[in-house]
Amino acid sequence: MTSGSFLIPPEVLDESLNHCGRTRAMTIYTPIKPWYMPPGSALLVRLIFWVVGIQLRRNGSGNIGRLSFIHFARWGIIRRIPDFGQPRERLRRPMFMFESNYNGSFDAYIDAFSHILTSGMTWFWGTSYGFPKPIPVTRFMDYIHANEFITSHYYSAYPTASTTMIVSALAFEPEHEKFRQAAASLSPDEFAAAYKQFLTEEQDKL
Amino acid sequence: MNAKGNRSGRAYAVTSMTPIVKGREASLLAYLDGLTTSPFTKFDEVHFARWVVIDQWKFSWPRAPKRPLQLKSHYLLFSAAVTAPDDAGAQRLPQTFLRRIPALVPDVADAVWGHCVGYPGSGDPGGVAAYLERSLLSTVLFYVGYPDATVQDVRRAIAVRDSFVDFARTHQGVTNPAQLQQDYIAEAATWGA
Repeated sequence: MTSGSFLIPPEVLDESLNHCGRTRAMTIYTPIKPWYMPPGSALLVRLIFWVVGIQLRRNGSGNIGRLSFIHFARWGIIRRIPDFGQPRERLRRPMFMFESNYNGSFDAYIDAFSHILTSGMTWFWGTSYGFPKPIPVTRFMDYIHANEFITSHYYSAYPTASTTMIVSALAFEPEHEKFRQAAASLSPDEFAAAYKQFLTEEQDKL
Repeated sequence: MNAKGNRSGRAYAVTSMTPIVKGREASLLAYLDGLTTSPFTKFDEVHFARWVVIDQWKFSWPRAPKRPLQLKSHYLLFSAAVTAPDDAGAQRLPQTFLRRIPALVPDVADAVWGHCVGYPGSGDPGGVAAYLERSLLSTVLFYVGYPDATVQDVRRAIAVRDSFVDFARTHQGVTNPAQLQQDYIAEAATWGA
């Protein structure tokens, strides 16, 4: 290939291709600044994620969990590209990788990221070149769009389910199983009362 | 490879990058574009998966470095979010998953990674698993919205919840407690089965 050429011209990137049912894929790579351009350096990125990882293990999902539309997300630092004998790649700067599987629209996703994880986003992407800060959100959206790749094939095992729906269903199922197992041992009147109470107690998961 | 960041409970973040043979990029894109049924439907451990053709790093934004990084090849990014059913299975990830690729979808594996440099072919399943393992990239943080839930757990929980909602809706007017109980016991036994 010609160095710098685009197989897929940026102008044909189509956000609508990044979905499977109501689930959407986000794939972003941004170059990390060197240590002499604060707050750059891959070491700092690693330190930030080490701290976030400890917080997640100790306190659950924390602020990321407030982004209730994320199914799975991953962050990584690419220092070297696997070598299979292709022309040798030289990464003068490590690349910061972000991938997400989420439901909702791209704009709503970035908007929520900006407003809920404002400081987190600054820490995560502040080490990358060109990061405009999460607010105002329009510039942040443009930055993410400009660094985003479109999937050529995307799969979701449950394309019609949102994250909230899944979390609620997983919380509902064991409670329902307890109720179901008790149901046969109740008299009809006791069952009717228990059923009504169960509906009331579990309605936020339905 | 530091695999710690790739794990979250029993879930594993598989991220692979392989170079595409020069001149075969368009053919790979055409194949991926033509897939009408995802091969990942055959993998009960896969929640999400994607193939992305990385043709060049993107530097067309304000304040980009004056000397942008340039890729010399095009790359195929493959990523999957997989969950094992138990702790022992989780410890065997990602190898068990990578070994299942040439076993379950040999034709697709050949059609996709056959466009990539050094791919050994599904006739050598151990070689394919080793090839993919060699192509893995590390993750520093892996976030899972519903930790340790397998695909089957998710599908069953949704089916139970939806069935219960349907039951509640269709039995709103039932005033006979014995009828309500009888219907519930009969129907709930089949939910999520």
